[in-house]
Amino acid sequence: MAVKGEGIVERSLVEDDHILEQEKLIIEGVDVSGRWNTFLAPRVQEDYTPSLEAEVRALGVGENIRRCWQCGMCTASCTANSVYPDFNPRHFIYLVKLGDVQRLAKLADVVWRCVGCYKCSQRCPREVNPAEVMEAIGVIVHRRWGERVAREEQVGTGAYKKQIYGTGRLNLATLMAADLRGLGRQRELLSAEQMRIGMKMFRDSRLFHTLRLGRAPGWSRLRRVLEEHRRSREEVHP
Amino acid sequence: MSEAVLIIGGGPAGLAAAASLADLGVEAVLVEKEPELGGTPKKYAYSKLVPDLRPAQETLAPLVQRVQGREGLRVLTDARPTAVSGKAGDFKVRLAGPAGEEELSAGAIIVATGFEHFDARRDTKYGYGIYPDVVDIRDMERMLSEPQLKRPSDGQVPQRVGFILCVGSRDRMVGNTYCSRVCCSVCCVQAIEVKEKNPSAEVYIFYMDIRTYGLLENLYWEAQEEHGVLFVKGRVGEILPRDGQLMVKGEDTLLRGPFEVPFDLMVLASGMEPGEGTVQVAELLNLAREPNGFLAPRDSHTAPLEAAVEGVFLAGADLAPKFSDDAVAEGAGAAVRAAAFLRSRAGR
Repeated sequence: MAVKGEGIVERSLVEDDHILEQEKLIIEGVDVSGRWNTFLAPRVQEDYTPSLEAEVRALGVGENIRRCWQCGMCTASCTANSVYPDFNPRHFIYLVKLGDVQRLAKLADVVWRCVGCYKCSQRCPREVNPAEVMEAIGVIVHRRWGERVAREEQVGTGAYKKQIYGTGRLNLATLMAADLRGLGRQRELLSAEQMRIGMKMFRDSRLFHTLRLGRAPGWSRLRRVLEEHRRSREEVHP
Repeated sequence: MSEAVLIIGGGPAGLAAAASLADLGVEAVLVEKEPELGGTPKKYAYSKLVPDLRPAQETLAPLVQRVQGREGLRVLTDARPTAVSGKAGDFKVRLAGPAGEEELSAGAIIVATGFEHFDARRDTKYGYGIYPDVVDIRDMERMLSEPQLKRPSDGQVPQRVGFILCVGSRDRMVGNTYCSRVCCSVCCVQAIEVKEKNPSAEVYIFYMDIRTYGLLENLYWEAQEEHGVLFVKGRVGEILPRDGQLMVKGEDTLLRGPFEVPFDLMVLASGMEPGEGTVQVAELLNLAREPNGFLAPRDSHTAPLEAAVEGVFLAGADLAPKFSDDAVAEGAGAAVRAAAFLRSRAGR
């Protein structure tokens, strides 16, 4: 079959899932196979979830989302936007405020790509704190459409939880090793670059300290807090 | 008991108040801290005024003329009040002027101390005060008063000129959450002036909302329809120098995407703040200020030109951001209220 929707002149304006096309189609004895039967699903938005904004606000870091007036200062200042054009904090905030779950679901794998530079939060004229609002939107998206999020993002959470709940702190070296193993890229751990860094860390003794990081100070008390947190989370997201 | 009115501030509001009192036959003293009368429009050599694009100097001249050589009206420049005691009907005011200190009595006081432009250096992302071709609307008024518009760095005629609205206004990060009201219209006028001086210039206005309220909407239409000024909805996030130009980064919110485009001259629509004189006089007279620092009237519905302190009247941009024609109207209004107040006390 030909490329989907290739007969459409302004193809870039039409989203894939709006194109209805069948390879073989016969209507009332007339063969309309191929591009003759290209139809477009209507773009009119009918389904909104107004409670989405409340979900984001309930997460604490998202509480200032109501202040947003869509000026675009966040996107104008955004570091991630130049790498991922669909990562547009202003637009995400708009989708959440309107409760446009369809569009948000399509962007599920883009939402989490904030690099945390906080330029948006520093410049936002209404102190929306877009950097942290994006974090809250990311949590909502993970809850609803976790399976749509790229594998790279899903991989880290297991090792992350294991370290936090097991030792009370993160060991970035072992976290990275776990990530690469999860992605089937463990060979990169033995790359020339890694070896060079490893030797350097061995010589100045950081390697030794890193591997023996152990538990956080005050572990017996901290563990109770973490356990309580885990239980409360499991009540909310079983 | 004094029959005279002291007017503090010789800008449009104070000049109108002084002339109105002279017309009413009420004795008055006008005190101005600058060497010249005319207030902020004079001090910063404003170019053309809203709403009819008349040159500011042409509209200021008759206002100044109306206070000169009037019977019962003293005009003191380079002078300011340093201490006030007494109360309504009998204020004792100490003035410091070029001839030294003096004390005078006043039955009523009109405060017309005006505003100051927001210092755009406080909004660091735009590099005002660092890059010479980033100017504010106050600088731009002076630049437009010259026969040819030249950019400060090299004296060249700028071909690409951008305006950024709401600098120092509607922004929690700089501490001013109010709208300065005049800047949208002022930028439309300045954009028109740029195009009049150089029709081949490309002029863009970056906006969040356009507030050319009421009859001023004409200016917005005129800028678009007759002069081809382009309006881009979105904020500029930063300005950086590149190859002798200014690289302007922002988001076009209607296209949903960032832009990075070069400009020859960027104009920041720096808003209005209560002036230094307003703050000082508020302290001298113990006047209430609203949360943004402007003077608060006793009752904005029934006594909009009166302070809560008896015998003190208010007019002009010390009350809120406003245009000079509104300030002139308020000056005349405050004069009438002050004259009526003195008459009612004399009759007692």
